[in-house]
Amino acid sequence: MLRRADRIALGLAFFGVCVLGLATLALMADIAMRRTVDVSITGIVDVTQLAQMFCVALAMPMAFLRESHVGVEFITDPLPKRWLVAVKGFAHLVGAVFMAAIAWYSLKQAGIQVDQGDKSQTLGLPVAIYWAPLIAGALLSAAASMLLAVRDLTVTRTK
Amino acid sequence: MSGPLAGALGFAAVLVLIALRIPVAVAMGVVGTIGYGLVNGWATLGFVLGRAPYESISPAGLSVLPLFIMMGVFSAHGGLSKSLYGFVASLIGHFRGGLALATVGACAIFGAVCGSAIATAATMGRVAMPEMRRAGYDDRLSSASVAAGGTLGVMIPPSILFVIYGLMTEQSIGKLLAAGILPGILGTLLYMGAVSWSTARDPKLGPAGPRSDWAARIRAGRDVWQVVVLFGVVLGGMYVGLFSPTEAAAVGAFGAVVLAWAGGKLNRSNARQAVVETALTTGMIFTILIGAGIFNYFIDSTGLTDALVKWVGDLGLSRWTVMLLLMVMYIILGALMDELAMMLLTVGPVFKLIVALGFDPIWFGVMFVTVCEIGMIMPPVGINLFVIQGVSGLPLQTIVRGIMPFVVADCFRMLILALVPALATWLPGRMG
Repeated sequence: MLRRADRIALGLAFFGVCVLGLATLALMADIAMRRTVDVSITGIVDVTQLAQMFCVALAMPMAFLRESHVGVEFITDPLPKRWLVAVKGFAHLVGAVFMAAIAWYSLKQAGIQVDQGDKSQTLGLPVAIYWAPLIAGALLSAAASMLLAVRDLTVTRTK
Repeated sequence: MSGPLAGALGFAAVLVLIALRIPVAVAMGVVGTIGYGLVNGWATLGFVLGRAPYESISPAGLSVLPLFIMMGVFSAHGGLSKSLYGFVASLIGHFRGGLALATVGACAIFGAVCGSAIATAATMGRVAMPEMRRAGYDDRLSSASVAAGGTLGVMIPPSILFVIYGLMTEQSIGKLLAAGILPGILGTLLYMGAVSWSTARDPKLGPAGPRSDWAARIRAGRDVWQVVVLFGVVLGGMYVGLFSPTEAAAVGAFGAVVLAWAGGKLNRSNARQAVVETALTTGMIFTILIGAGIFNYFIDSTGLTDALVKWVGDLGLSRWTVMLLLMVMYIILGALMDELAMMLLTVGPVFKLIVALGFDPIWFGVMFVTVCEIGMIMPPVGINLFVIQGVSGLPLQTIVRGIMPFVVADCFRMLILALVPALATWLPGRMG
């Protein structure tokens, strides 16, 4: 299960970085055109911001799944193994609840903005496509964290 | 309970959760959420959790971060670190402690294309540690020189910490990056001084190696032009107003990928690894930004910042005493927690305080990053100590035993920056 989740998270993270890579190419083209023919690509800021949202939000589930988040471990490291695993499981559980709450309230906030007809500044892109990666990233991060919590807490119970 | 007291308890609660192994981002977010609910009523929770995460990751200026991360990661995978180390070692490797001096120098130059201390230490550690071991260097000196040298990555631009500081305090990112150049060079020289002092006390720590002839030096320097060009275009372009910070970061990321690919160093496997590293670092940093965004909503609502400024004003301390106390607090905090988290947790209130005391915000940014550098090599949780432990397999105690001269060098740098603030403010002052 964890291996399959890692593959999905990896695929999403790859996709996000590639989207940012495409925005980078667009930025390069914009700089070149501005310097040579004095023409700028319309809405380059909108595009870059959208790419950033995809890259950032879709990278989050992998960061959770691979436990890459910054934390302090030396205080709990001396605990007996059983306790240590329980503490880890608790930490993952808190992370899962927190990210699920973000996903839920972001969904509600996105709904409000969609109803108001909010759009991006230059290209007029619907605001929903800016919210979508954040909601998906938060939801999948919650799922990733829950998987790790289940792994750790199950180990604790069976020991 | 008064608002400021609730804010202070919030800080304590974050530290407790962090001690319980909860990631810093989650700890800040959870405390911010609950604290905001307690202070402002639970009905307002939807407002904070619905707005803060989006506001924390959507500003267009933040695209600088993943792009500079990408630039550093691809430069590392493109083999630039090895070329740099070989070149600097050919120039000064024949001195006593020369390879450790070369390590510090190569870290500084690599820091010019990589904005992360961890990436700089890990990358240079893999290259420099085996060379120093082969040359008979003591593990204490070799490991400490990489751990300390790696921290130069966050002072010498592009620096991820400067970018985040600039975004949080609404200071010019271009000026902050320029502000890091001279203190970065100063830090390099002082670290070299620390190496020389260590080897002068105990020559067995770093025996002198053979001298390279000029033909060998020129051969070793063939690939170094890439770093010079990349750094020159990115920073030079920003300095003369050719690019915005986002565009400069895009040029840097694009350039790093192209140089790695053109040098034949970017195969399918390490390109994939580079993408994964970029994503992991990006995901980690932005999750902290979300947590900090929520926490800052809470802190703002408590009025803690204004109360802190007023309280310090009422104490009647001189502004330099306040600055000294702040720096001591940051050194202690930096020894216990991650520097990025430390910045996001504290810079909001502290920034208002230092501006109220009349300090230059750019200068304080440089002082803050310097103190972060100390935190990165300060036991028990100096992150670069663990990075080098992971790279070298040495016991942590060995690295810690060699690190103190470098910590002293950093403290000395802070003193010089306090006495000569122009080192941090002169270059940004000349920008348009």
